[in-house]
Amino acid sequence: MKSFLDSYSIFNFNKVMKKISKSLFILMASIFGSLYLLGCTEIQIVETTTTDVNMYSYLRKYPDKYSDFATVLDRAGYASFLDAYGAYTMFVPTNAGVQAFLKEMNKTSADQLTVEEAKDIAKIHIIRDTLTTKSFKDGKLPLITMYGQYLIGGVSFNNGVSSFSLNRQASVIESNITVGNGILHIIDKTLKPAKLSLSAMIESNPNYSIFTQALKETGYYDSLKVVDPDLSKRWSTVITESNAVLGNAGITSYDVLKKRYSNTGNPRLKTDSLNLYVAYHILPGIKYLADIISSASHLTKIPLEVVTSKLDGQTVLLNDVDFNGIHEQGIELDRNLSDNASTNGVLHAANAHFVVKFRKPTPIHWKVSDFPEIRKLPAYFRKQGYAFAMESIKDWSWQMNTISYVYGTGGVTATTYFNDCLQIPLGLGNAARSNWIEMKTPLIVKGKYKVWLCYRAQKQSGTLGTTGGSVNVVQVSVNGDPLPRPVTFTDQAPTGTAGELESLGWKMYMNNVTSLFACGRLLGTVDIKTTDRHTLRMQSISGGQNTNNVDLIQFIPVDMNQLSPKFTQSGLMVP
Amino acid sequence: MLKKLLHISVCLLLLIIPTSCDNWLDLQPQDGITKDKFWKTKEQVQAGMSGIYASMLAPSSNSITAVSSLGGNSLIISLFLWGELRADMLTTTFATRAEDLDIMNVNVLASNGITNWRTVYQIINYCNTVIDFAPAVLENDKTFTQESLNSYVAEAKTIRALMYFYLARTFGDVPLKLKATSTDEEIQQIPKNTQAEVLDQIVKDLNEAEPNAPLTYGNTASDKGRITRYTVNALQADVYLWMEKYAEVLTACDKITKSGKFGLIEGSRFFNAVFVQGNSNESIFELQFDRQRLNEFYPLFANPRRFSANAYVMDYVYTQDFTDDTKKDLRGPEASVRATDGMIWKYSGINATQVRAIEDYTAHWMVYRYADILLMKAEALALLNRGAEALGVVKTIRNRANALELTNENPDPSDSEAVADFILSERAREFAFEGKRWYDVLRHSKRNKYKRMDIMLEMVARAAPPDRQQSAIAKYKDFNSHYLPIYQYELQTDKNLIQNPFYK
Repeated sequence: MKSFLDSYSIFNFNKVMKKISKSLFILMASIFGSLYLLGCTEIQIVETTTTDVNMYSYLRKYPDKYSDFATVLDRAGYASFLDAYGAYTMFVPTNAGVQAFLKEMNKTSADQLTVEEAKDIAKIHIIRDTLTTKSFKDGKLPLITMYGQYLIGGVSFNNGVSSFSLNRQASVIESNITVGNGILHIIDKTLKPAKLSLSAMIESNPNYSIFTQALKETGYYDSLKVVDPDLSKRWSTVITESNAVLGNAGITSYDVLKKRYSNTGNPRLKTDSLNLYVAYHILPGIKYLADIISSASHLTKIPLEVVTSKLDGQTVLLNDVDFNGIHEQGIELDRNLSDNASTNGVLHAANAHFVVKFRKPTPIHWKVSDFPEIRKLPAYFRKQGYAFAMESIKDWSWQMNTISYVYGTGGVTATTYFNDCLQIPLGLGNAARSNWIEMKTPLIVKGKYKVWLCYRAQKQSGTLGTTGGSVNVVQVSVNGDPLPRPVTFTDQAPTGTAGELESLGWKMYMNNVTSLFACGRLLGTVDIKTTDRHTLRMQSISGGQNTNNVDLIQFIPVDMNQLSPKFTQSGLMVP
Repeated sequence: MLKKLLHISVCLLLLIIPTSCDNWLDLQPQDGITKDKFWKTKEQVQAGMSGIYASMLAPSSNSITAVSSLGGNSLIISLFLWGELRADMLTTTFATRAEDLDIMNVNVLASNGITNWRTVYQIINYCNTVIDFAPAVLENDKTFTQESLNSYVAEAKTIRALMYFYLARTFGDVPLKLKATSTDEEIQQIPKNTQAEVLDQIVKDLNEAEPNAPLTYGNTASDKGRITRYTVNALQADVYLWMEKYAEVLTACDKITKSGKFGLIEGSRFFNAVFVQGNSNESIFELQFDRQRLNEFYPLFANPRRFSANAYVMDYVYTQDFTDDTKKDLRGPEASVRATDGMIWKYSGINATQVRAIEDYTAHWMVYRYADILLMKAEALALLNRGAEALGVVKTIRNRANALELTNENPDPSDSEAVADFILSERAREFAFEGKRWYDVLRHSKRNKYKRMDIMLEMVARAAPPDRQQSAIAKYKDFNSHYLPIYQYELQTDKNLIQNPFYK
């Protein structure tokens, strides 16, 4: 049987030829021919998802610029992981930068480095995450290098040009080069890790000789020498005082210092005042100036003793505080002599002699309705009411809606100190009222205090002194520790003599006001552990209402008279 | 058989070819008018001119799609951000965007969308189109006079000059494009010109425009919303002030002050007349928003409120009289800023207490007003060592506003720098949030080859966040950092552009 294809097979070619005109055949032949030629071109199939190179390959792409550092990476054995998937930041010194560094080490080429040396150099240049120049601040970069030391970012200005700088050693020439596995920044010099410990760094500076000796005598010298492998314990921050600074305070030698402060004769004792002097200059953790000003207070080596800090213009000040209405001028940190990185911390220098301030616990009569934001509104402050929206009071936070400043010689403020108060709506499980509010107290000296909340009792609905209507029970806590007795803003004081009331935890805090709604409630005793501003929180635990009229919160040392002074509407304190 | 097939196919082909021809060979766009059909009548010239003004009011195209995000912010949003973000009068809120924050933190990268200048160049291109094509209309439309042609070209040149002035002050060196791009073939990759070259072109354009720009259009709305000869003079004064040619500043200012057409709005009418109603007697040129074209400030200042006024504004710029709250600067609380919460009131208030509704965010954008002319004049006088005259002018401004005595710096009239500093502070009070603060600070700092760098550094020390303050100061010591980077998209598409060396 003849197949259909047979008629077209090569054997029948001549027969078929006869059926087709010659010209048509040529046409077809040429079409087939051109198709054949077209088919010849190889199809390029892209098998990679990106043409971006990774870090190491990028360096090898520009041997005239980066070959030396690439060789360092080779020596360290890091070439492969820097060419693999990941997210890194690498600071790449140019060839000139590497050469200058090698010269310092008396080597002529990167091949001569030992593997360990190469690793150390490579590690200080690599961070295990991506950082653009946006994360450069005045202090350390937010992430630590593989070497285990932070790099100090910053900006330097030389010859009319500003550039990002690292460790005050190198300038960034080209920034934010994105490669497949991270970001490169090109720098002009090789970074060198800090080699000195805090102790060694202080000792190496003859201007700090008195302070060095104090460190040695008190034993802190030895602890500041150690580079703890545990990163969480490694870092300290030391604020030194130079011989000149001490000299200005009349301390010309270590002996004078010892004579002035050491009360036990043994500076190694933690209770010795010289020991405390040194301990007060050591802050746990790594804190560059930028970190110091970012937080209002810092713990020191003295348990629970803090230094406070602030930025005034461009000046970094320590212990610049208003205490009981008196401004205490702070101690300036010298920007030029500060921010020195060492293997286990950072070293700053103070411009003046300072010691830990031992203050006796002092009563604080915190007028809650007097804060900077209301003082800035002269049309309202002690003139008329004003509602503060969330986030509009700097040191306070609450959950929702507004809290109100209330003023008036009549109404609820007829019997309050300065004729004003703060109305804080609180409630439990209410969609329109905050459940809690947190406020920063004024500076409170460490010690034991009784806490009184003085308010103008009011029921938003119902009658005071009766059981019906609004009820609002509020728990107050200081630094997260609840005070034992809650306050019920809808309750007024019971009747009784001052002594009877005090024994029940009540007092009449206004002078010559006998109305029971102008009352103070004892919330309990609190142990303030650090001399600092603390967080006070009010939290509704039952009921709720808007008219919680807070006038004063008092912290009165436990051994003092709890009933005086009393207050007047015109703003006087009557002892 | 084969022949028949051939015939049929030929016939079919003949049927197809003529129909398809129409689409194949005619390249007219179907969704617009081409150049050779346009630019025929005077009405079309007028339409072209209206297009320029419309483009200055056009909304932002900041939707989330990648393509339109290239369009960038509207003109006045750009002008506000460029003029205020790097200065000291704004503060962040929780709705502040990352790109705003980066600029406020002196941390600008070329990837920051705020540096996109596309909107401004678009307007420049519309101006170029009118300048290039309007003259040909004279041949086609006999009712179109040489005089009105000159007037249109003067308007377009002035707006182009204004746009280039913003660009030169914001980016330093920018490409100067003076020919219209009307077809794809005309898209060029052009390099940057220096700031000085751009300024020279601006001066040239303004000098050409001045004699032809009309003094009035016959109605207030047009006189305040379109370019008049006084706008040209105002811009001349501003440009010469920047170029430190103080005698020319005085000449330009005097043309306006001597016209007798403008004055300061006095007393309690000030806020309402100038900022709420707009087109006041004090206005020289303003961008007129209305309910059909909102100014887009609602999300910036009201909800979610990207910016609030820095506490510095109430504490130091205007200050308050704590003993007598009836004494207050007319321009300060409840005019520029709501003292109680720092809301930027200039564009948000209807009166002292009431906030605009979202559909009422129609406050006009002040480009120049009479107070600006007076203070520019005062600045020129001060720097020509005519301190006493300068202080006289400043006093006029202060008296109108009931400025508090606390803010009177009382400089020695013979100390030109002190008088100039006082004028700079007065400008902060007068033009708060009008997109002028950064340019004012920069102009004063860069005077005499940056002799007064201290002004800039003092400002950034105050405005930068504490943990970045020292970096910010070091950055601003580099003059190049005072100009924004070229947006990276522009760098990718125009290979002739070279990035500002600070952003290496």
